[in-house]
Amino acid sequence: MSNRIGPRHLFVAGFLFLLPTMILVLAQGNSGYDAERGVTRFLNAFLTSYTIASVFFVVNMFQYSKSREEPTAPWVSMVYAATLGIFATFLLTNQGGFLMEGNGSQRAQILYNIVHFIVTSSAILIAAGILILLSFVNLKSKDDGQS
Amino acid sequence: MENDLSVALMLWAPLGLVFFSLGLQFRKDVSAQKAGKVVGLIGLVFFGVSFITVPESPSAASSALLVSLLPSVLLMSIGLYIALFAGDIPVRRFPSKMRPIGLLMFVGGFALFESMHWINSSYLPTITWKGETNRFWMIFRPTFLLAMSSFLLAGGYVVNLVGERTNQTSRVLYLTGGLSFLLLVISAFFDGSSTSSDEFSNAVLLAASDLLGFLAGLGLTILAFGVAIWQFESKRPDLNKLPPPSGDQLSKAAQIVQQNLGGDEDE
Repeated sequence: MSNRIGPRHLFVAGFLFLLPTMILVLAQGNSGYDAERGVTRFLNAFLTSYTIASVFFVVNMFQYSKSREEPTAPWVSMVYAATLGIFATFLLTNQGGFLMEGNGSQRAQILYNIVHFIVTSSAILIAAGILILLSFVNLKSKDDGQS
Repeated sequence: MENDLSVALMLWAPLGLVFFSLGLQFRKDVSAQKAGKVVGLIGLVFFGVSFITVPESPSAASSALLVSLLPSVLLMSIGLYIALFAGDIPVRRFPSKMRPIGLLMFVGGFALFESMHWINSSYLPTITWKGETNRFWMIFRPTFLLAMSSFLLAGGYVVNLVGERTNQTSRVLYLTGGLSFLLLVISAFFDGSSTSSDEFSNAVLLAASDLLGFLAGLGLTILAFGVAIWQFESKRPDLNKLPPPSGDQLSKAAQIVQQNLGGDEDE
């Protein structure tokens, strides 16, 4: 490690992460963007990723409970996740009812959310994969660096 | 009703198998992991062909897109894999002359992905579904380009902080991230082969909502489970206060050490 990562570095990294979105929002201005639809998409993405990631983590908590001999760990984490999930869902859907995006029924919206999540997460995972592979592709050996 | 059943069996059940197989990968049992891989592959194949088996389902458009994206994604990932393992690293798997070929494959895959948006040709994988632009393409492409520009720009900065001799890596990440962002901006101002610039610029902002919602949901999950794990870990005694290991634990440790020691053929 050449440097220690401090809060200032994390802030700059976070700023660079959000920079493309901020530029696009500023460039767009008020022209034609449906802000209400954007909020609905944000909330649906948030709730779907929270639900699916929670299921994934709960499955892993069973492994954790075995290896650390903590039999109550999956149930405690499930209670935490469910409480937080119910609270977040209530808070987010309280204002405008169920978060519909032009689908005919709640079941259709839930199924659409799952497919939407798969498409979005595939795009994000492929982009993250490219970041990792590109980083390692350009690594130089110690000898090259010294010469 | 019959239609619903066939969609459930040909699209949702295979998708469920893919998630189930992901769960099996976390079991310690090797045979369960292998069975999970087979089940996941079967699920993926059945989901991939669901645009042929159940084209009446609106969700089948996602499997049509998945198949259309396969050539470019495979070219990009295999290209980077070859370039990585043909590089100057101790675990080299390919001769160094393969490195430019790998990089060319990556560039070719990315160019193929972009040409799907800009050029309407029967030789290219299609982005249309039932005569219209696939609705999932308008989610995938902006999310992919936006995620790539965000990840690579932030990654270019972080890589420079955490490693040594990483200036070249940082430059490449900034450059690729910048190119990805430029393509986003161009798409928001110029019409593609089957999408207008207005549609796309709206889709980019919705993709930003998706990306931030996805990361926020994931972050909250990590926070909730992090608190649960911290609660259990904080109750455990400090390492220097632990009782000495039992005979069983010592023999298990010896077994693990024996399994992992070696290297006499290489050294």
